[in-house]
Amino acid sequence: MSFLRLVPVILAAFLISCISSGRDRKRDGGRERSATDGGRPAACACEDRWRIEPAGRDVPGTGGTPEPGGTMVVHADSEPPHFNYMLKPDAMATWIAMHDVLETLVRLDPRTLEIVPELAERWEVSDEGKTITFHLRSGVEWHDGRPFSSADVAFTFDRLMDPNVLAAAQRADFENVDRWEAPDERTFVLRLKWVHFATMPNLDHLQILPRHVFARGDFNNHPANRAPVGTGPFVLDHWTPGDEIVLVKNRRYWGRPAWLDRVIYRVVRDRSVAFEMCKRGEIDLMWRLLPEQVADQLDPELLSRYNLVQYWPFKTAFWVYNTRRPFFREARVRRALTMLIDRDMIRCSVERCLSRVVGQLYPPEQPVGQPPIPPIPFDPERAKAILDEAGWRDSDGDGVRDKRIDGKLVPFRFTFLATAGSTSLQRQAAIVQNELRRAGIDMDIQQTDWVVFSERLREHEFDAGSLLWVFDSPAIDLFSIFHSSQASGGGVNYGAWRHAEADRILDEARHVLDASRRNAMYHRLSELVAEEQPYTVMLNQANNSLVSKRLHGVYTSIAWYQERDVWIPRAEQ
Amino acid sequence: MIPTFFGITIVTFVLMHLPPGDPVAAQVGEGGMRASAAANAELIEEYRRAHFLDLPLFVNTRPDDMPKQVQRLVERLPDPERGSWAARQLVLRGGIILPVLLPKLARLPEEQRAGALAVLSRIAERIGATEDLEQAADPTAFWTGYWELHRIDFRPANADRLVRRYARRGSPAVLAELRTLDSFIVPSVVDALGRDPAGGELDRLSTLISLVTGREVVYRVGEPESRRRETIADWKEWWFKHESDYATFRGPARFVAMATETRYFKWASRIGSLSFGLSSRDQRPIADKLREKAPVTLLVASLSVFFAYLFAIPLGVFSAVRRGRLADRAIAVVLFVAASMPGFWVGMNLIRTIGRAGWLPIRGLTSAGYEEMSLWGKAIDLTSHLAMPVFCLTYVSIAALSRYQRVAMLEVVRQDYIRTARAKGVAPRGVIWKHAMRNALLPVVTLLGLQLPFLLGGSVIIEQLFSINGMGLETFEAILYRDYNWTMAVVTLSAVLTMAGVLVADILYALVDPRIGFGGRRSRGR
Repeated sequence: MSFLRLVPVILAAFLISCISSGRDRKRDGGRERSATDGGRPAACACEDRWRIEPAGRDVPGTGGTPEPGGTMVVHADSEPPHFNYMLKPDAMATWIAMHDVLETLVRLDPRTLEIVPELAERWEVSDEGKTITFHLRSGVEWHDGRPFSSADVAFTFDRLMDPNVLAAAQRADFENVDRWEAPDERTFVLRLKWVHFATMPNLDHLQILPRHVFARGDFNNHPANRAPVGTGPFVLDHWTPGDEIVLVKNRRYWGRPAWLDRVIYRVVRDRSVAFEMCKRGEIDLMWRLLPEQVADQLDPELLSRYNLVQYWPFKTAFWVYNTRRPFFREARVRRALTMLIDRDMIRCSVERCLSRVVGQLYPPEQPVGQPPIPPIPFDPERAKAILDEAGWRDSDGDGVRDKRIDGKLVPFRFTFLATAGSTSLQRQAAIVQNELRRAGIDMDIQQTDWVVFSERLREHEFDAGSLLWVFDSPAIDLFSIFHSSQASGGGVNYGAWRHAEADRILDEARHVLDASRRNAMYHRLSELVAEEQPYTVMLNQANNSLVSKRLHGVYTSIAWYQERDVWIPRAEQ
Repeated sequence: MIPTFFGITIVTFVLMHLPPGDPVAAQVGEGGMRASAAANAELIEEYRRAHFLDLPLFVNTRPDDMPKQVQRLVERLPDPERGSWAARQLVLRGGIILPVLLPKLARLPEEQRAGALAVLSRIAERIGATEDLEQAADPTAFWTGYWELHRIDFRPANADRLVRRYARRGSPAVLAELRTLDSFIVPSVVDALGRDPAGGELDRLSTLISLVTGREVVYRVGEPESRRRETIADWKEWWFKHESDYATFRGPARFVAMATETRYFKWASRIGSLSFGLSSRDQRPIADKLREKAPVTLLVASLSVFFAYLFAIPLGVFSAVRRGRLADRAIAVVLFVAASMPGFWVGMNLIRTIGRAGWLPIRGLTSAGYEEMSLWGKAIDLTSHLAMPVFCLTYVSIAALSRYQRVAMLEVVRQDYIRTARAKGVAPRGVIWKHAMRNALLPVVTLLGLQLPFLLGGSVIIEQLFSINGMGLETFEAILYRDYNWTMAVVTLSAVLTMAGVLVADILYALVDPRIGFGGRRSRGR
């Protein structure tokens, strides 16, 4: 009897030991930090553990002469709502269908990011850049066998600009489009109101849709959105909701056909389970591993069958400050705040060295990011001095700095808004919170769901918040993020930062087609932002994927892997 | 039943709209950082209109109609950023805006008039007035004159008459006349569509309405009957969404619109046909998504309820019989430990042990190539996929249920009639299973009734872990993204199932307890 009474106690002890041993393991990767002196710790334990390369390179050991045939299984952590990018720019849908099933007039070469022809064979620019004439490829067929013509391109633009089509997000990319014509079957003319350097790169995402398929029925919820008919090297074979999306090779493709016979996107909601499936050998490509999976769970056996592919995409985390708040009004105070954020520490203990500390918005791999702007170093003493100088002192002795503004005593007390569900963000915020408290700043952490979060940011009802920006194009027009006109009325300038010179650059640079001149202008903007710190650029995050050694012809790209170039040696099919 | 049902839906409708957050916000956030403020505003407006979020909940004191919309859009025309959108909206409305716009065209402020004239020149192409317009020296004067001349044609009665004539005979002369009215004929055509037109008439009517709305859904003579019904339903659905873009609410229609142009009415008016509207997350009809996900959850949940009862009832009875003895205590300890282990933890450990060893599949309900398997192969495949998720759902409820059963049994065993049975020498086994058991089942049966909504609710964690395409995950995400239509559909179904569950429990009472019976039958028996 007494033994039986003990059973729950023993079990509880066992459970607790399980949990705490898990914690210990996690701490190994990070560095220890003495709580008493707050001094600089020794070097980061995970330093030099990874080899993260710029995007656009071949994965070593996957070269050779391609052989057709075979099936590739790709992990999908979510299901797209449908494949119509115009209605919803969903990341998964883009990976599956963009350029592989549905094609565009021109595309960005996934390696070099140059604009290359797709459905348009060539194009001419005239009228000072305001008229673009596309000469379409002949002999292109839709997957259902009907011929492709300029009427389809015109139809696509008709729908894009149709006010009853829920396409405002993509319509914004083409706000400079005035008219479009299809003078004959193989020619399409786009006339612009004003020249924008991003118009051509944006065409990379405008999927051309078949007019004959969409002619009947409601565009917004047309069945063909989920069963797309395209012109690409793959055809959607079937989609079993919640289970798999299967593409098969288009044998009548106008260009070089894909090597693979089939690509299966296997839906696995939970990343840990997907990881288990890699161990069972049921998945060939798993994208976006979690930092703890990369750091703790890769065993030699797994790495004998998979390549760990690591590269830098354009993916950067920011903290945004609402400059309308009294404590974030001054640039020097925002700089001081950046100095109080120990990004090296976060990189080491939270991100497990799978990210890098940068000081600018533009990726350093791009010409516009050169020369790189050095990040503001972690320096609490200097930060405190700046805060004192700016008049933020603890006058009432409650441990929190304050300042008399318009006769009212304002304490330096703010709320950091984060989306719920991200543990790494929670840990990041906790580290910063600790450091700020030592400097006499009280930061409260509030988590909300995504809907409330985005609404509060858009309405500027927040103090500080975290953002993650991912670009899949090098043509980044920051107008909507930094221009003062976007600081109200639902714009994306959440911090409501206003700066006359930045406005001037943003107004001018978007019309400049010459890349080197434009890059110089945007670099100046980057410097301004680094000086003014309306955002703290936290970390540039790496993409980590497991790619089966079976797969050849694999190379990285800023957005995703290119199925049409992947092949599997006949022996391993 | 029915008042209760609508009461539940009204309460849910109110509660659902109380928490902060706007379903549109999620859509805008995903538009990304490239979108300008104007584009975001546009997106919000489009979404709100598409999902009736621009309407008030229950009473619309100022129902929006076509003239009001035209007024607003014209005012917006001079706006450098949003003007082109307003212009596109007006051109899309077509000829129906003429009776609103033309009489006051001359009185419009200069900037608005310039925008309005640009819109009108596009409409002129549709009503065949381009040539005259180009020859006119002053477009404003031309349009004022045009209105003087043609106002007599722009009357609903006239449009009705022409549409009816054209639908019957289809003469080119009438068609030419109809084309000069452009979209002014839309309400008349919709009326005609409502009278269930035959094939030939529908052919002409659908051609007409496609012509003036730029939305091509046409029935051709000779196409099958199902296509005829589809076409009518499609246009009715369109009218349901776009009525306020074309209709003018005046007089009694205005009072009707006060009730009909509301979010609740738009939702409730279609509940009879089990159409729950579109999901705001992916624009798919809710009914389609339900058809896809409900059977999966139903299968998993009913299996887990079945197994839970299968094990819990004997276990409860057994521990009641052995009350206080070692076996009872051992069962209690094991069950409490089981109940306190979280499902995701157990599930993950199962995946890492049994799954990693390769004994059982770890995701989904079927393997690739399920369709081609033999019946026996299908059964094995499905069972092996279901084993782990069903186990994870079952073991927790066994604990609770068997405790209920144990308590109920103990209660019954103390009753006089059990002592009597024992005293008259019925074997202990007989006392328990025959005399006590049926009475002790009552509370557990009540619980079964309440389990019915759970059959459709699904489990977020287990579905996430085992990649099961069920209701739980979808509902969870629907709540996060404020997908009101999905939430309402699930709540409505749960309400129906709860009511059904109560009914089922009542019927089961009668079966297990001879003292309870159906009124009619008992009176006859006496």
